[in-house]
Amino acid sequence: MIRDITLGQYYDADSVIHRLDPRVKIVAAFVYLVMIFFVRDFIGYLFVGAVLAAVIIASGVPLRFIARGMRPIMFILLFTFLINIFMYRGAVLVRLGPLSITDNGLKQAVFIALRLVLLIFGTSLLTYTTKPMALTDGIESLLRPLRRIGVPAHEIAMMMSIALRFIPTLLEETDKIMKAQQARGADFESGNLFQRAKSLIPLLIPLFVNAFRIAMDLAMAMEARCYRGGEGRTRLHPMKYRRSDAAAYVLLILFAVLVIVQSRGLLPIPMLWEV
Amino acid sequence: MRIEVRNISFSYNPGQPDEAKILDGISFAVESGTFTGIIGHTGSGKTTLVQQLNGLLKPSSGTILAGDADITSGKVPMADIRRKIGLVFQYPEYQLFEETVAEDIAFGPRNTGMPEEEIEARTREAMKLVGLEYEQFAGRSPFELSGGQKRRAAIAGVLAMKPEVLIMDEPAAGLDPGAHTAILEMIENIRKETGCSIILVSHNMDDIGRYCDQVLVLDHGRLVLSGTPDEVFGRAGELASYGLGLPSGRALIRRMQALGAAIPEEGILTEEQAADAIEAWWKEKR
Repeated sequence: MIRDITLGQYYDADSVIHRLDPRVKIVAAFVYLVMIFFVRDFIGYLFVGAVLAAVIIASGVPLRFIARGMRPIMFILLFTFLINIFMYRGAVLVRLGPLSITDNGLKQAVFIALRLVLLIFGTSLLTYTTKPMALTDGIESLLRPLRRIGVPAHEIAMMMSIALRFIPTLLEETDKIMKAQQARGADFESGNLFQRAKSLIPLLIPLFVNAFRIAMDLAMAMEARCYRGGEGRTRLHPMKYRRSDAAAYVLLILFAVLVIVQSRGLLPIPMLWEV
Repeated sequence: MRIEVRNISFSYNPGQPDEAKILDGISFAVESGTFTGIIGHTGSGKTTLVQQLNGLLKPSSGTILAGDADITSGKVPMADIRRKIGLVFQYPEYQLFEETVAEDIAFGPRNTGMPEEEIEARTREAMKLVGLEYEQFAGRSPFELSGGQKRRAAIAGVLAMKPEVLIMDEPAAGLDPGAHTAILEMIENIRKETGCSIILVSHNMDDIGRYCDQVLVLDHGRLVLSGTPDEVFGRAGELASYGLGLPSGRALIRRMQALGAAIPEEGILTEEQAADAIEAWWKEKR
């Protein structure tokens, strides 16, 4: 059940995107995120969507795989869509009792839904194409300049990699405890919402206790190997910018400029269904 | 209750290219009231096998009969099977969660919805079986007990279900030698007192030799040897090829044989039996 979630997973492939420096991909994901909020009409989305499609094709991650990642957030998507569609004044299209769908509502709902889909597709591409360890290395490297103002870059990255590393361990632990409690007649599947929440207690308490125990053991093991933080540590795989990374940065800047210019209406094309 | 396993196989992702066969055509029977040992190298499928026996995992093919009921048919309620076939996992103390020892032990019986007096009676009885004084331990938090006591409390949680078959996966793992012996003695005592059958998964050949009536040897998901401990441990060469050794008493006698001492190894499973055999041999020799 838990294993079916593809969102945030790594998809192993050897593509241009996979080979990019993790820092480039993190910066690109961040810029992409901001740019999505600049977009004000559907032409803008068309452009962003086309760029995203090109990157997805270049990454070699099957669309099926990415679409599967949408499943857990389908509910949120539907919820925002429904909220938006009923909440705007304008020319009434359909009337459903006290609620009515207006042209503005429909536009707004589609607009927000598209924004969410683009957000998730784009940012999930970061984790699909970057190994978790490379990701944390990239974050550490990007945060390093902030150390002067007291941001513990290495510690943040270390915490992230430890958290990532323990996801499978805790899943396994969950599975084990679940089975052990089922062997004692625990029922996790039936009952109403309240009963189900209550039936999770025999699962959650041992899970927390074990998580603390594992954390304690890990801290002890790190100390026993003289871990003392980031000062003076070297890397097994030092990160190095290559020519393709520079090209990616140039394309990224171009993308950002185009989105901003278009969203300000500075291009000689009219806006389409501006929101 | 008799358990009969007929030709079961189990794999993850069956039919897929990444199919992983964990169990392959296993058949055996566990008679009522007997002590069965399952041995095998790490990754041989022991834990997966015992999880099939109380329905936590379903075999990909084959049937398992518990008494007269076919638990793989899907027609028998799982709650019944899990009540009759108790499974104690490795490191069961990590599954304790209630505020008091008594409450944790009562978790199983409470899930079956029996009356409160019955639950308390069972809790007392289970604690007695595992050697935890009710007055002393019932009200304490399970998290403040020692390692050995925690494990006893966790085992009591399964015993309170009054299983007819008790499966123990490495019950003595990680305990010191004293606590190790005490847990095994306790298990044998539970069998004598309640008449349930025991299935013991273990890496410790001494325990297997000392307590079991029947030994099953797994290797890469297949049942490669089975029989009485004497039969199984009589095939030392074959066991070695599966990465398994002999009980220390038996191993000692074989070592002495290799050095020229004419001591028969048959029937020797424990250190005490080995000592007696050596003494008899020594007296005769003089």
